[in-house]
Amino acid sequence: MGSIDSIYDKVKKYIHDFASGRGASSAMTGYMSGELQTVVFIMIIAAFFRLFSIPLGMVILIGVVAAVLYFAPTIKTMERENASDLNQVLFWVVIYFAAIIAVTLWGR
Amino acid sequence: MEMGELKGARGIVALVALVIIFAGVLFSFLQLNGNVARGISPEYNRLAYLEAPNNLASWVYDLRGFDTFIETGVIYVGAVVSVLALGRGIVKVKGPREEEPVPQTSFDFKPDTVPIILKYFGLPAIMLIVSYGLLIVTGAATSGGGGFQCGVIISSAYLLGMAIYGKSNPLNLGKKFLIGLGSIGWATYGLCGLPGYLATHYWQYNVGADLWSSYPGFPGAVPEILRTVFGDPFRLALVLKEGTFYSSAGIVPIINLGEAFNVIGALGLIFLVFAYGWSDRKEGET
Amino acid sequence: MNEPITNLWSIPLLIVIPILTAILVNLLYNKANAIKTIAISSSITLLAIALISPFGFQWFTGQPGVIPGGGYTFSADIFAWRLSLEYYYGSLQQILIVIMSLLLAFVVFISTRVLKKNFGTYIGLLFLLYTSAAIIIMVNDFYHLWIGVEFGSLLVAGVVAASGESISQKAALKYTFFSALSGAGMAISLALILGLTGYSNISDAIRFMSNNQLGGMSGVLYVAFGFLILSWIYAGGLAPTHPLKSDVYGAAYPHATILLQTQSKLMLVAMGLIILRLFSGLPFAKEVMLAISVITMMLGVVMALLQTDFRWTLAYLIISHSGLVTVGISLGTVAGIIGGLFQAVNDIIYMSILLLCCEAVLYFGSGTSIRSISGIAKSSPWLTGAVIVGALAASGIPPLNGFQSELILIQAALGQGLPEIAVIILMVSVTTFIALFKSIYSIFLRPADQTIIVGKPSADATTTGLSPVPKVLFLALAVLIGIAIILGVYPNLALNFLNETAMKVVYVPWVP
Repeated sequence: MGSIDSIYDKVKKYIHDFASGRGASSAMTGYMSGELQTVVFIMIIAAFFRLFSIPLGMVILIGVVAAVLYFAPTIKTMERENASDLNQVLFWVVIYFAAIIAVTLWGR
Repeated sequence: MEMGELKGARGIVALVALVIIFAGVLFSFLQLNGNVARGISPEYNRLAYLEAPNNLASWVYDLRGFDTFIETGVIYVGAVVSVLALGRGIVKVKGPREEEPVPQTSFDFKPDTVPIILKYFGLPAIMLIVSYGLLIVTGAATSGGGGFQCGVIISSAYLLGMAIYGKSNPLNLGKKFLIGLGSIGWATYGLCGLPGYLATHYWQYNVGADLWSSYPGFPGAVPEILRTVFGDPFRLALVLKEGTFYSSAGIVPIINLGEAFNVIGALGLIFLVFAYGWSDRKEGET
Repeated sequence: MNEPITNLWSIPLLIVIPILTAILVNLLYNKANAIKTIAISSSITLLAIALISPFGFQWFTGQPGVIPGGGYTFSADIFAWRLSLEYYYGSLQQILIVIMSLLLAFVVFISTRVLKKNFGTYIGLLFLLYTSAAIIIMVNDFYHLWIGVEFGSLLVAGVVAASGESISQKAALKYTFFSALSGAGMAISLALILGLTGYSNISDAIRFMSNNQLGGMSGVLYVAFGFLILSWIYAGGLAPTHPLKSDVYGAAYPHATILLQTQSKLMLVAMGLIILRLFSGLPFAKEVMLAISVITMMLGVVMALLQTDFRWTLAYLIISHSGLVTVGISLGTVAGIIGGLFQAVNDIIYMSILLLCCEAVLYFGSGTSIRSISGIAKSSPWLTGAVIVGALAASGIPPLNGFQSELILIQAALGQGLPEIAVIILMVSVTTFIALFKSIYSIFLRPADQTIIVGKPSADATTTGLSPVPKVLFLALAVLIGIAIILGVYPNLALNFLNETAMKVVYVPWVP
């Protein structure tokens, strides 16, 4: 994913990532609406940081929007990270738990 | 995700996360040091001796007896589920054709290769172990010990028998027998609560020991007959210079027997089925 | 507020009857008629007990409470430290256990009709699953809560493994593997709280914590909170362990999933309320719970969109709607908790409707994938009607029950000054609609084409190789749809049961 990719390459990759191996149209609809949903969800969650300070929320929101557009399609990553693989789940549990401990113990 | 992926950035993130968790847990344990409250436990100590010389039996099987009942259920369910994974009780919906159950292979026990000297010493050893288990369960209320320990000891004797003599060993326990034993054990434990429930509406109230029915404000009363039936067989006398004191463990010894049956059944079934697999055919049929 | 009675007759029966039934039917194993009689009569007895029982406590083994000034008491009105294990049966417990008993009766009836022989063990496991949920919703004791969660997670694995396919065996194995982690975590949490307070009774521990300033001990409390949250996540299938739980929901038979999801919702509610009662005073506690709930809602519903099998769509939607339940509880206000509890009730009902329809689709013999079956509407119009009502209820469309609880949740979120939460709840209901209708259109409404073989389940299963849809399944659908409509029109019927619990959790957390 070099930064010198042309717009054409990006669009091609985007389409390709969607359509790879899944020709059924009903599955495609799912992926398309899933992608849109994810982007909106992530933006709403980013907006939560307004609770701490409004400028921070704005910066994070803009950053997240940029990141989401850069890494699109996010739905593929989502699907991969939600696999029921034990190592994967264990990894995320460890991350979550560390976040809970860190926020609650040292967040005050 | 393959393990190899943990070597990259993900691995570092996971490592940092683990360090944070360990630091947090360690920090909290250090903070707890010297600040432990005793709470309710002295009260348990004050009451336990009124029933059984083995305080542990009073706590585990009477004061917190219902906890142990559900714990016993965990052992029972553990056996049922393990055996289910190997084929007992797998269900199918009538109509649709579905995937066949995963075929199970059994371990390869070869009792023929066991040296003859082991076969000579095996039988006495099994007899000794079983008697030790019986000693443990009968002394549950008076000495350290109990149903769970007895169950583990006897089922280990069963495992020894299987290892040395194969399927037709001296403790020739069949699968139906083991299932029945486990079920009867847990049901016995459960039904021990019934007399107390009928008399006082407190489930598993120890009608034999009957510590509280004379206390003012106690709802319900324990009939004399229940006190005799469940109390007298297990009454103990403590003879001291100051006089002779009586106490009874009541339903605790019966509960221990149930617990022992349950554990023998559960562990024995796990050993048997993991060693020889499960089939719905009757024993002896091929 | 509470009845002071400490020897309530109904509580032991609600636990012991299903256990004895389970032992008996497991022992009978393949004697279908005896199992059917025992299981059905026992489940109807449980429903009756739950309906007529008064409220009160049960102090198991009849040990008294210790009055701090000396002496003992057998009344729950007098302030005393509990020696015995305490269960409480109140209005929340009643409504949840009544619904669960109703579902148990239907599930047992259906499974005795549609399964081949040797279903004794399976029915036994279903009864024990009921017991584990009943234990967790009634118990007021940490140690017993831990046992209940361990018991429950083992049973979930058993019920899933019973369908015998490799996918369900894998799901069961993964789920049990994780139970080791969460069980141990919960034990650590328990040990820390027990060490700090000395009381395993939850009310007593909370009283001790509010009487003695434990501000210096906040590190210990936070770690205990973290581990308790971990097992809450696991037991209820919240993110990030939701892939394991959705595997479980998808791999079990749909009728078993009805009880599995009911058990999860009850665990979520019971443990969520306990966490709230214990830790709501700690800064950041509610925020952590809220974050987990929001992420669960979002991941569940997006993953549901991607599925092409009706069973798996439902599995992920159940996950997502668990997040809706916990959002309400995590808000920590009276309105939020009422919304969360009501959502749990409604969720159990409309997901059961959808799962029953999914079960019926399974009997058509071509699986539940949207690619393998279509055109059911023509042969079973009633079933199609039921699945559409279920989908509308799940998407929160009036006059069905999902609408009322989502409305309360949205109002509670707005009242807390969190419009983002309200937006997310709205988006979840819209997306639920899309995800469900993708499957419903393909399976029920799309005309059958030649490449796909569709059979009509007939009364004579032997000639067609298909199994008939049992009449009791339609009865269950009718009853549940009736409840969904009644609760949608008169939400107060359920809310009256939930108000008191929410008030107690917020204002007098030590009262169960």
